[in-house]
Amino acid sequence: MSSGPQSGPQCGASPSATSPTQWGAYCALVRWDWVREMKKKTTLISMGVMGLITLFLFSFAIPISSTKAEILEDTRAGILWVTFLFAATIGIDRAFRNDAESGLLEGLLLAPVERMTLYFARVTSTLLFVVTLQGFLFVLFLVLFNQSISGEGLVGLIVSAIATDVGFVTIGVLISAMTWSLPGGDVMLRILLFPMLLPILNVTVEVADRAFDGRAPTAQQLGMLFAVDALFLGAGSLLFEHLVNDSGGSS
Amino acid sequence: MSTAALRVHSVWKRFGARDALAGVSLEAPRGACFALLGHNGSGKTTLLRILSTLWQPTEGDIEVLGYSLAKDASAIRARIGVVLDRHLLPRDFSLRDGLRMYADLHAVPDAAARIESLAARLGLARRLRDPVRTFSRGMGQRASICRALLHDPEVLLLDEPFTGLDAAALDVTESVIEEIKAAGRTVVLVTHDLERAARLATHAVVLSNGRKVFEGDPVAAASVAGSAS
Ligand SMILES: Nc1ncnc2c1ncn2[C@@H]1O[C@H](COP(=O)(O)OP(=O)(O)OP(=O)(O)O)[C@@H](O)[C@H]1O
Ligand SMILES: [Mg+2]
Repeated sequence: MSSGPQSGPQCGASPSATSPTQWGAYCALVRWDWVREMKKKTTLISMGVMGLITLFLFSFAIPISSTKAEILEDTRAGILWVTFLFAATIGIDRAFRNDAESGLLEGLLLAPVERMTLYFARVTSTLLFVVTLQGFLFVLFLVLFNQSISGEGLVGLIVSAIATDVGFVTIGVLISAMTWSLPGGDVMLRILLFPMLLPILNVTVEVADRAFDGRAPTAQQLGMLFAVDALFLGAGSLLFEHLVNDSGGSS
Repeated sequence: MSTAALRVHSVWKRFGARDALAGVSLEAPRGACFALLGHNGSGKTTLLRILSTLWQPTEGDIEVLGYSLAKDASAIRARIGVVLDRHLLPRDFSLRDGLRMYADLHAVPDAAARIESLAARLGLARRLRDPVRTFSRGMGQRASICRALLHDPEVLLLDEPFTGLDAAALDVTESVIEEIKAAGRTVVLVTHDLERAARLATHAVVLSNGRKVFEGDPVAAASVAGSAS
Protein backbone atom coordinates (compact mmCIF):
# COMPACT_ATOMS: atom_id res chain seq x y z
CA MET A 1 0.00 0.00 0.00
CA SER A 2 1.47 3.32 -0.97
CA SER A 3 -0.34 5.67 1.35
CA GLY A 4 -0.13 4.87 5.02
CA PRO A 5 -2.80 6.01 7.40
CA GLN A 6 -2.33 9.61 8.45
CA SER A 7 -3.23 11.49 11.49
CA GLY A 8 -6.13 13.69 10.53
CA PRO A 9 -9.54 14.88 11.52
CA GLN A 10 -11.06 13.70 14.73
CA CYS A 11 -13.45 10.78 14.47
CA GLY A 12 -15.77 11.68 17.30
CA ALA A 13 -16.11 15.25 16.16
CA SER A 14 -17.83 16.36 13.00
CA PRO A 15 -21.32 15.28 11.94
CA SER A 16 -24.02 14.71 14.49
CA ALA A 17 -26.18 11.59 14.20
CA THR A 18 -29.33 12.67 12.44
CA SER A 19 -31.95 10.02 11.78
CA PRO A 20 -32.97 10.24 8.14
CA THR A 21 -36.67 10.31 7.38
CA GLN A 22 -38.05 7.05 6.05
CA TRP A 23 -39.02 8.83 2.86
CA GLY A 24 -35.45 10.10 2.41
CA ALA A 25 -34.08 6.62 3.03
CA TYR A 26 -36.59 5.13 0.59
CA CYS A 27 -35.56 7.55 -2.17
CA ALA A 28 -31.86 6.92 -1.47
CA LEU A 29 -32.35 3.15 -1.60
CA VAL A 30 -34.23 3.27 -4.90
CA ARG A 31 -31.74 5.68 -6.44
CA TRP A 32 -28.70 3.64 -5.40
CA ASP A 33 -30.34 0.39 -6.57
CA TRP A 34 -30.80 2.01 -9.95
CA VAL A 35 -27.24 3.37 -10.03
CA ARG A 36 -25.92 -0.06 -9.09
CA GLU A 37 -27.90 -1.76 -11.86
CA MET A 38 -26.76 0.82 -14.40
CA LYS A 39 -23.11 0.03 -13.60
CA LYS A 40 -23.22 -3.41 -15.20
CA LYS A 41 -26.87 -3.87 -16.16
CA THR A 42 -26.58 -7.59 -15.42
CA THR A 43 -30.17 -7.95 -14.26
CA LEU A 44 -31.64 -5.98 -17.16
CA ILE A 45 -29.54 -7.89 -19.68
CA SER A 46 -30.40 -11.29 -18.19
CA MET A 47 -34.09 -10.44 -18.19
CA GLY A 48 -33.90 -9.05 -21.73
CA VAL A 49 -32.13 -12.12 -23.09
CA MET A 50 -34.67 -14.43 -21.46
CA GLY A 51 -37.53 -12.39 -22.96
CA LEU A 52 -35.89 -12.41 -26.35
CA ILE A 53 -35.44 -16.19 -26.34
CA THR A 54 -39.03 -16.72 -25.26
CA LEU A 55 -40.36 -14.45 -28.02
CA PHE A 56 -38.20 -16.21 -30.61
CA LEU A 57 -39.42 -19.62 -29.51
CA PHE A 58 -43.03 -18.45 -29.74
CA SER A 59 -42.37 -17.00 -33.17
CA PHE A 60 -41.32 -20.46 -34.33
CA ALA A 61 -44.24 -22.20 -32.66
CA ILE A 62 -47.00 -19.88 -33.91
CA PRO A 63 -47.44 -19.33 -37.64
CA ILE A 64 -47.15 -15.63 -38.52
CA SER A 65 -48.79 -15.88 -41.91
CA SER A 66 -51.75 -13.87 -43.15
CA THR A 67 -53.73 -17.04 -43.81
CA LYS A 68 -53.52 -18.12 -40.19
CA ALA A 69 -53.77 -14.66 -38.64
CA GLU A 70 -56.64 -15.77 -36.39
CA ILE A 71 -54.36 -18.16 -34.46
CA LEU A 72 -52.10 -15.30 -33.53
CA GLU A 73 -55.08 -13.08 -32.71
CA ASP A 74 -56.27 -15.68 -30.21
CA THR A 75 -52.88 -16.18 -28.58
CA ARG A 76 -50.96 -12.88 -28.78
CA ALA A 77 -52.02 -11.54 -25.37
CA GLY A 78 -50.99 -14.83 -23.77
CA ILE A 79 -47.67 -14.88 -25.61
CA LEU A 80 -46.92 -11.37 -24.43
CA TRP A 81 -47.62 -12.09 -20.78
CA VAL A 82 -45.86 -15.45 -20.68
CA THR A 83 -42.80 -13.66 -22.08
CA PHE A 84 -43.09 -10.83 -19.54
CA LEU A 85 -43.44 -13.34 -16.74
CA PHE A 86 -40.50 -15.55 -17.65
CA ALA A 87 -38.23 -12.56 -18.12
CA ALA A 88 -39.31 -10.59 -15.06
CA THR A 89 -39.00 -13.59 -12.75
CA ILE A 90 -35.24 -13.51 -13.29
CA GLY A 91 -35.07 -9.97 -11.89
CA ILE A 92 -37.38 -10.86 -9.03
CA ASP A 93 -35.27 -13.87 -8.12
CA ARG A 94 -32.27 -11.55 -7.87
CA ALA A 95 -34.02 -8.95 -5.74
CA PHE A 96 -32.15 -10.24 -2.69
CA ARG A 97 -29.97 -13.12 -3.80
CA ASN A 98 -26.98 -11.14 -5.10
CA ASP A 99 -26.95 -8.62 -2.28
CA ALA A 100 -27.32 -11.32 0.33
CA GLU A 101 -24.49 -13.36 -1.13
CA SER A 102 -22.16 -10.37 -1.39
CA GLY A 103 -22.96 -9.24 2.16
CA LEU A 104 -24.45 -5.95 1.04
CA LEU A 105 -27.88 -6.88 2.34
CA GLU A 106 -26.48 -6.91 5.88
CA GLY A 107 -25.14 -3.43 5.32
CA LEU A 108 -28.59 -2.27 4.25
CA LEU A 109 -30.17 -4.02 7.21
CA LEU A 110 -27.77 -2.07 9.46
CA ALA A 111 -28.91 1.28 8.04
CA PRO A 112 -31.43 3.25 10.11
CA VAL A 113 -34.25 2.20 7.85
CA GLU A 114 -37.44 0.42 8.82
CA ARG A 115 -37.67 -3.06 7.33
CA MET A 116 -40.85 -2.00 5.57
CA THR A 117 -39.04 0.91 3.90
CA LEU A 118 -36.34 -1.44 2.71
CA TYR A 119 -38.98 -3.77 1.31
CA PHE A 120 -40.90 -1.06 -0.53
CA ALA A 121 -37.68 0.38 -1.91
CA ARG A 122 -36.69 -3.02 -3.25
CA VAL A 123 -40.18 -3.50 -4.72
CA THR A 124 -39.93 -0.09 -6.39
CA SER A 125 -36.53 -0.65 -7.94
CA THR A 126 -37.49 -4.13 -9.15
CA LEU A 127 -40.67 -2.62 -10.58
CA LEU A 128 -38.59 -0.03 -12.45
CA PHE A 129 -36.44 -2.79 -13.96
CA VAL A 130 -39.50 -4.85 -14.92
CA VAL A 131 -41.35 -1.95 -16.54
CA THR A 132 -38.24 -0.92 -18.48
CA LEU A 133 -37.88 -4.48 -19.69
CA GLN A 134 -41.53 -4.75 -20.69
CA GLY A 135 -41.29 -1.60 -22.80
CA PHE A 136 -38.42 -3.13 -24.70
CA LEU A 137 -40.05 -6.55 -25.09
CA PHE A 138 -43.36 -5.04 -26.18
CA VAL A 139 -41.78 -3.16 -29.08
CA LEU A 140 -39.89 -6.31 -30.03
CA PHE A 141 -43.12 -8.29 -29.90
CA LEU A 142 -44.91 -5.85 -32.23
CA VAL A 143 -42.08 -6.09 -34.74
CA LEU A 144 -41.51 -9.82 -34.52
CA PHE A 145 -45.18 -10.76 -34.75
CA ASN A 146 -46.11 -7.96 -37.11
CA GLN A 147 -48.74 -6.53 -34.77
CA SER A 148 -50.08 -3.05 -34.21
CA ILE A 149 -52.13 -1.43 -31.46
CA SER A 150 -54.35 1.66 -31.38
CA GLY A 151 -53.64 4.60 -29.06
CA GLU A 152 -56.63 3.78 -26.85
CA GLY A 153 -55.64 0.13 -26.71
CA LEU A 154 -52.11 1.08 -25.74
CA VAL A 155 -53.27 3.23 -22.82
CA GLY A 156 -55.44 0.40 -21.52
CA LEU A 157 -52.58 -2.03 -21.91
CA ILE A 158 -50.11 0.21 -20.05
CA VAL A 159 -52.49 0.88 -17.16
CA SER A 160 -53.36 -2.78 -16.75
CA ALA A 161 -49.74 -3.90 -17.15
CA ILE A 162 -48.58 -1.55 -14.41
CA ALA A 163 -51.41 -2.64 -12.14
CA THR A 164 -50.43 -6.26 -12.78
CA ASP A 165 -46.73 -5.57 -12.29
CA VAL A 166 -47.31 -3.94 -8.91
CA GLY A 167 -49.01 -7.08 -7.59
CA PHE A 168 -46.63 -9.43 -9.32
CA VAL A 169 -43.47 -7.68 -8.11
CA THR A 170 -44.80 -7.06 -4.59
CA ILE A 171 -45.49 -10.71 -3.93
CA GLY A 172 -42.48 -11.83 -5.99
CA VAL A 173 -40.01 -9.76 -3.96
CA LEU A 174 -41.56 -11.10 -0.75
CA ILE A 175 -41.17 -14.70 -1.94
CA SER A 176 -37.65 -13.95 -3.10
CA ALA A 177 -36.74 -12.81 0.43
CA MET A 178 -38.07 -16.18 1.58
CA THR A 179 -36.35 -18.39 -0.99
CA TRP A 180 -32.95 -16.86 -1.79
CA SER A 181 -31.14 -18.81 0.92
CA LEU A 182 -32.76 -22.17 0.17
CA PRO A 183 -31.10 -24.80 -2.00
CA GLY A 184 -32.96 -24.64 -5.31
CA GLY A 185 -34.44 -21.34 -4.19
CA ASP A 186 -34.78 -20.04 -7.76
CA VAL A 187 -37.04 -22.97 -8.70
CA MET A 188 -38.91 -22.69 -5.42
CA LEU A 189 -39.62 -19.03 -6.19
CA ARG A 190 -41.33 -19.96 -9.45
CA ILE A 191 -43.26 -22.84 -7.90
CA LEU A 192 -44.64 -20.55 -5.21
CA LEU A 193 -45.09 -17.45 -7.35
CA PHE A 194 -46.79 -18.67 -10.54
CA PRO A 195 -49.87 -20.25 -8.90
CA MET A 196 -50.43 -17.05 -6.89
CA LEU A 197 -50.44 -15.06 -10.10
CA LEU A 198 -53.09 -17.12 -11.88
CA PRO A 199 -56.05 -14.91 -10.88
CA ILE A 200 -54.42 -11.64 -12.03
CA LEU A 201 -52.87 -13.27 -15.04
CA ASN A 202 -56.29 -14.37 -16.27
CA VAL A 203 -57.59 -10.84 -15.99
CA THR A 204 -54.57 -9.09 -17.43
CA VAL A 205 -54.44 -11.40 -20.46
CA GLU A 206 -58.12 -10.64 -21.10
CA VAL A 207 -57.36 -6.93 -20.82
CA ALA A 208 -54.43 -7.23 -23.23
CA ASP A 209 -56.68 -9.11 -25.66
CA ARG A 210 -59.20 -6.26 -25.58
CA ALA A 211 -56.36 -3.75 -25.96
CA PHE A 212 -55.21 -5.33 -29.22
CA ASP A 213 -58.81 -4.96 -30.47
CA GLY A 214 -58.64 -1.27 -29.50
CA ARG A 215 -60.93 -1.58 -26.47
CA ALA A 216 -60.27 -0.19 -23.00
CA PRO A 217 -60.30 -2.42 -19.87
CA THR A 218 -63.56 -2.57 -17.93
CA ALA A 219 -63.83 -1.02 -14.47
CA GLN A 220 -64.37 -4.50 -13.08
CA GLN A 221 -61.14 -5.79 -14.58
CA LEU A 222 -59.10 -2.88 -13.24
CA GLY A 223 -60.83 -3.19 -9.87
CA MET A 224 -59.79 -6.83 -9.68
CA LEU A 225 -56.16 -5.98 -10.49
CA PHE A 226 -56.03 -3.18 -7.90
CA ALA A 227 -57.67 -5.38 -5.26
CA VAL A 228 -54.98 -8.03 -5.73
CA ASP A 229 -52.29 -5.31 -5.56
CA ALA A 230 -53.70 -4.14 -2.22
CA LEU A 231 -53.82 -7.71 -0.93
CA PHE A 232 -50.22 -8.46 -1.92
CA LEU A 233 -48.96 -5.10 -0.61
CA GLY A 234 -50.61 -5.84 2.73
CA ALA A 235 -49.08 -9.32 2.87
CA GLY A 236 -45.65 -7.97 1.97
CA SER A 237 -45.62 -5.24 4.57
CA LEU A 238 -46.76 -7.62 7.29
CA LEU A 239 -44.43 -10.51 6.53
CA PHE A 240 -41.17 -9.03 5.23
CA GLU A 241 -39.84 -7.95 8.62
CA HIS A 242 -40.16 -11.49 9.98
CA LEU A 243 -38.30 -12.94 7.02
CA VAL A 244 -35.22 -10.72 7.34
CA ASN A 245 -35.14 -10.69 11.13
CA ASP A 246 -34.92 -14.45 11.21
CA SER A 247 -31.81 -14.54 9.05
CA GLY A 248 -29.78 -15.56 12.11
CA GLY A 249 -31.33 -19.01 12.25
CA SER A 250 -34.51 -20.18 13.86
CA SER A 251 -35.09 -20.19 17.53
CA MET B 1 -32.74 8.32 29.38
CA SER B 2 -30.66 5.68 31.19
CA THR B 3 -26.95 6.22 31.76
CA ALA B 4 -25.91 2.79 30.45
CA ALA B 5 -24.94 2.58 26.80
CA LEU B 6 -25.78 -1.10 26.69
CA ARG B 7 -27.98 -3.19 28.92
CA VAL B 8 -28.19 -6.89 28.16
CA HIS B 9 -30.51 -8.88 30.38
CA SER B 10 -30.40 -12.71 30.37
CA VAL B 11 -30.12 -13.08 26.64
CA TRP B 12 -30.38 -16.47 24.99
CA LYS B 13 -29.78 -17.34 21.38
CA ARG B 14 -30.55 -20.84 20.21
CA PHE B 15 -29.58 -22.38 16.91
CA GLY B 16 -31.57 -25.61 16.81
CA ALA B 17 -30.43 -27.56 19.86
CA ARG B 18 -27.32 -25.41 20.41
CA ASP B 19 -27.24 -22.48 22.76
CA ALA B 20 -24.92 -19.88 21.24
CA LEU B 21 -25.79 -17.59 24.17
CA ALA B 22 -27.13 -18.97 27.42
CA GLY B 23 -28.47 -16.26 29.69
CA VAL B 24 -25.85 -13.55 29.24
CA SER B 25 -26.33 -10.30 31.16
CA LEU B 26 -24.09 -7.28 31.12
CA GLU B 27 -24.12 -3.53 31.34
CA ALA B 28 -21.74 -1.06 29.72
CA PRO B 29 -21.66 2.56 30.88
CA ARG B 30 -21.40 5.34 28.32
CA GLY B 31 -17.85 6.13 27.35
CA ALA B 32 -16.67 2.61 28.12
CA CYS B 33 -14.56 0.45 25.89
CA PHE B 34 -16.05 -2.93 26.51
CA ALA B 35 -13.93 -5.92 25.50
CA LEU B 36 -15.78 -9.13 24.70
CA LEU B 37 -13.33 -12.02 24.95
CA GLY B 38 -13.53 -15.80 24.71
CA HIS B 39 -12.48 -18.82 22.70
CA ASN B 40 -13.70 -19.65 19.19
CA GLY B 41 -17.42 -20.37 19.22
CA SER B 42 -17.98 -18.83 22.65
CA GLY B 43 -20.74 -16.54 21.36
CA LYS B 44 -19.00 -13.18 20.91
CA THR B 45 -20.08 -12.58 17.32
CA THR B 46 -23.57 -13.82 18.10
CA LEU B 47 -23.91 -11.24 20.89
CA LEU B 48 -22.48 -8.49 18.69
CA ARG B 49 -24.88 -9.30 15.86
CA ILE B 50 -27.77 -9.20 18.27
CA LEU B 51 -26.60 -5.82 19.63
CA SER B 52 -26.36 -4.58 16.05
CA THR B 53 -30.06 -5.52 15.50
CA LEU B 54 -29.21 -7.99 12.72
CA TRP B 55 -30.31 -10.96 14.79
CA GLN B 56 -33.01 -11.25 17.36
CA PRO B 57 -32.39 -12.94 20.67
CA THR B 58 -34.41 -16.08 21.32
CA GLU B 59 -35.06 -14.73 24.82
CA GLY B 60 -34.03 -11.76 26.90
CA ASP B 61 -34.11 -7.97 26.79
CA ILE B 62 -31.62 -5.55 25.34
CA GLU B 63 -31.36 -1.80 25.50
CA VAL B 64 -28.89 0.27 23.52
CA LEU B 65 -28.61 3.92 24.59
CA GLY B 66 -31.92 3.48 26.36
CA TYR B 67 -33.74 2.26 23.24
CA SER B 68 -35.33 -1.17 23.38
CA LEU B 69 -34.00 -3.50 20.73
CA ALA B 70 -37.41 -5.09 20.30
CA LYS B 71 -39.24 -1.78 19.81
CA ASP B 72 -36.81 0.85 18.51
CA ALA B 73 -34.34 -1.08 16.37
CA SER B 74 -34.28 1.64 13.72
CA ALA B 75 -33.39 4.34 16.27
CA ILE B 76 -30.59 2.10 17.53
CA ARG B 77 -29.26 1.57 14.01
CA ALA B 78 -29.04 5.34 13.51
CA ARG B 79 -26.71 5.56 16.51
CA ILE B 80 -24.43 2.56 16.12
CA GLY B 81 -21.55 1.82 13.78
CA VAL B 82 -20.75 -1.81 13.09
CA VAL B 83 -17.66 -3.58 11.77
CA LEU B 84 -18.27 -7.23 10.89
CA ASP B 85 -16.14 -9.80 9.10
CA ARG B 86 -17.15 -8.41 5.66
CA HIS B 87 -16.89 -4.79 4.57
CA LEU B 88 -20.56 -4.64 3.40
CA LEU B 89 -19.79 -2.19 0.58
CA PRO B 90 -21.11 -2.74 -2.97
CA ARG B 91 -18.29 -4.59 -4.71
CA ASP B 92 -18.67 -2.92 -8.09
CA PHE B 93 -18.77 0.59 -6.66
CA SER B 94 -15.77 2.76 -6.07
CA LEU B 95 -15.03 3.24 -2.39
CA ARG B 96 -16.31 6.82 -2.68
CA ASP B 97 -19.67 5.75 -4.13
CA GLY B 98 -20.04 2.91 -1.65
CA LEU B 99 -19.46 5.24 1.28
CA ARG B 100 -21.68 7.86 -0.37
CA MET B 101 -24.51 5.34 -0.47
CA TYR B 102 -24.25 4.66 3.26
CA ALA B 103 -23.86 8.39 3.97
CA ASP B 104 -27.15 8.99 2.15
CA LEU B 105 -28.89 6.26 4.13
CA HIS B 106 -27.65 7.84 7.36
CA ALA B 107 -28.36 11.39 6.12
CA VAL B 108 -24.79 12.43 6.94
CA PRO B 109 -24.37 16.19 6.55
CA ASP B 110 -21.52 17.29 4.28
CA ALA B 111 -20.90 13.70 3.27
CA ALA B 112 -18.23 14.37 0.63
CA ALA B 113 -15.91 16.07 3.12
CA ARG B 114 -16.59 13.43 5.75
CA ILE B 115 -15.70 10.65 3.29
CA GLU B 116 -12.51 12.41 2.23
CA SER B 117 -11.35 12.94 5.79
CA LEU B 118 -12.13 9.40 6.97
CA ALA B 119 -10.47 7.85 3.92
CA ALA B 120 -7.38 9.99 4.52
CA ARG B 121 -7.40 8.98 8.15
CA LEU B 122 -7.50 5.28 7.28
CA GLY B 123 -4.94 5.61 4.50
CA LEU B 124 -7.42 5.07 1.66
CA ALA B 125 -7.45 8.59 0.18
CA ARG B 126 -5.73 7.48 -3.00
CA ARG B 127 -8.03 4.49 -3.43
CA LEU B 128 -11.35 6.33 -3.24
CA ARG B 129 -11.89 5.92 -6.96
CA ASP B 130 -11.03 2.22 -7.13
CA PRO B 131 -13.73 -0.47 -7.14
CA VAL B 132 -14.03 -2.08 -3.74
CA ARG B 133 -13.70 -5.52 -5.35
CA THR B 134 -10.05 -4.76 -6.11
CA PHE B 135 -9.19 -4.13 -2.45
CA SER B 136 -6.88 -6.36 -0.46
CA ARG B 137 -8.17 -7.86 2.76
CA GLY B 138 -6.61 -5.21 5.00
CA MET B 139 -7.91 -2.45 2.74
CA GLY B 140 -11.38 -3.97 2.95
CA GLN B 141 -11.08 -3.87 6.72
CA ARG B 142 -10.01 -0.21 6.64
CA ALA B 143 -12.93 0.56 4.31
CA SER B 144 -15.23 -1.18 6.73
CA ILE B 145 -14.00 1.01 9.58
CA CYS B 146 -14.62 4.12 7.42
CA ARG B 147 -18.16 2.91 6.74
CA ALA B 148 -18.83 2.30 10.42
CA LEU B 149 -17.59 5.78 11.40
CA LEU B 150 -19.38 7.74 8.64
CA HIS B 151 -22.33 8.89 10.71
CA ASP B 152 -20.25 9.47 13.85
CA PRO B 153 -22.00 6.74 15.86
CA GLU B 154 -22.53 6.94 19.60
CA VAL B 155 -21.78 3.24 19.98
CA LEU B 156 -19.22 1.41 17.89
CA LEU B 157 -19.50 -2.39 17.66
CA LEU B 158 -16.30 -3.96 16.38
CA ASP B 159 -15.95 -7.66 15.57
CA GLU B 160 -12.25 -8.43 15.31
CA PRO B 161 -11.41 -5.03 13.78
CA PHE B 162 -7.66 -5.66 13.84
CA THR B 163 -7.77 -8.67 11.50
CA GLY B 164 -5.62 -8.19 8.42
CA LEU B 165 -4.40 -4.71 9.37
CA ASP B 166 -0.75 -3.70 9.03
CA ALA B 167 1.15 -1.91 11.81
CA ALA B 168 0.20 1.58 10.59
CA ALA B 169 -3.49 0.75 10.30
CA LEU B 170 -3.42 -0.94 13.72
CA ASP B 171 -2.10 2.27 15.24
CA VAL B 172 -4.75 4.38 13.54
CA THR B 173 -7.53 2.01 14.57
CA GLU B 174 -6.29 2.13 18.14
CA SER B 175 -6.14 5.91 18.12
CA VAL B 176 -9.63 6.07 16.59
CA ILE B 177 -10.89 3.92 19.45
CA GLU B 178 -9.14 6.18 21.96
CA GLU B 179 -10.70 9.27 20.40
CA ILE B 180 -14.14 7.75 20.45
CA LYS B 181 -13.72 6.89 24.11
CA ALA B 182 -12.48 10.42 24.83
CA ALA B 183 -15.55 11.86 23.08
CA GLY B 184 -17.71 9.95 25.59
CA ARG B 185 -18.83 7.34 23.08
CA THR B 186 -18.95 3.63 23.70
CA VAL B 187 -17.00 0.87 22.01
CA VAL B 188 -17.68 -2.85 22.12
CA LEU B 189 -14.56 -4.66 21.05
CA VAL B 190 -14.57 -8.35 20.13
CA THR B 191 -11.03 -9.56 19.70
CA HIS B 192 -8.54 -12.37 20.23
CA ASP B 193 -5.77 -9.80 20.60
CA LEU B 194 -5.68 -9.96 24.40
CA GLU B 195 -2.79 -7.57 24.80
CA ARG B 196 -4.52 -4.86 22.83
CA ALA B 197 -7.82 -5.54 24.60
CA ALA B 198 -6.12 -5.17 27.98
CA ARG B 199 -4.61 -1.88 26.84
CA LEU B 200 -7.71 -0.33 25.25
CA ALA B 201 -10.61 -1.65 27.26
CA THR B 202 -12.06 -0.12 30.40
CA HIS B 203 -14.37 -3.07 31.05
CA ALA B 204 -14.27 -6.69 29.93
CA VAL B 205 -16.37 -9.82 29.80
CA VAL B 206 -15.18 -13.32 29.00
CA LEU B 207 -17.63 -15.70 27.39
CA SER B 208 -17.30 -19.46 27.29
CA ASN B 209 -19.85 -21.69 25.55
CA GLY B 210 -22.37 -18.89 25.51
CA ARG B 211 -22.05 -18.09 29.21
CA LYS B 212 -20.37 -15.22 30.97
CA VAL B 213 -17.48 -16.67 32.98
CA PHE B 214 -15.77 -13.43 33.97
CA GLU B 215 -16.63 -9.76 34.20
CA GLY B 216 -14.39 -6.96 35.41
CA ASP B 217 -10.92 -5.62 34.94
CA PRO B 218 -9.64 -5.99 31.33
CA VAL B 219 -6.17 -7.15 32.37
CA ALA B 220 -7.58 -9.89 34.57
CA ALA B 221 -10.12 -10.75 31.83
CA ALA B 222 -7.32 -11.10 29.30
CA SER B 223 -5.54 -13.60 31.52
CA VAL B 224 -8.79 -15.53 32.12
CA ALA B 225 -9.44 -15.59 28.35
CA GLY B 226 -5.82 -16.56 27.70
CA SER B 227 -5.90 -19.50 30.08
CA ALA B 228 -9.35 -20.67 28.95
CA SER B 229 -8.41 -21.00 25.29
N1 LIG C 1 -25.94 -19.01 11.79
C1 LIG C 1 -25.64 -19.96 12.68
N2 LIG C 1 -26.27 -21.14 12.63
C2 LIG C 1 -25.99 -22.10 13.55
N3 LIG C 1 -25.11 -21.98 14.54
C3 LIG C 1 -24.44 -20.82 14.64
C4 LIG C 1 -24.67 -19.75 13.72
N4 LIG C 1 -23.88 -18.72 14.06
C5 LIG C 1 -23.18 -19.13 15.13
N5 LIG C 1 -23.52 -20.39 15.49
C6 LIG C 1 -22.98 -21.15 16.62
O1 LIG C 1 -23.03 -20.32 17.77
C7 LIG C 1 -21.88 -20.51 18.58
C8 LIG C 1 -21.22 -19.16 18.81
O2 LIG C 1 -20.71 -18.67 17.57
P1 LIG C 1 -20.03 -17.23 17.44
O3 LIG C 1 -19.85 -16.99 16.02
O4 LIG C 1 -20.83 -16.28 18.22
O5 LIG C 1 -18.63 -17.48 18.15
P2 LIG C 1 -17.43 -16.48 18.36
O6 LIG C 1 -17.24 -16.34 19.83
O7 LIG C 1 -17.63 -15.25 17.58
O8 LIG C 1 -16.24 -17.32 17.76
P3 LIG C 1 -14.93 -16.84 16.95
O9 LIG C 1 -13.93 -16.42 17.97
O10 LIG C 1 -14.49 -18.07 16.25
O11 LIG C 1 -15.33 -15.76 16.01
C9 LIG C 1 -20.99 -21.52 17.83
O12 LIG C 1 -21.17 -22.77 18.41
C10 LIG C 1 -21.53 -21.49 16.43
O13 LIG C 1 -21.38 -22.75 15.83
MG1 LIG D 1 -16.68 -14.37 15.92
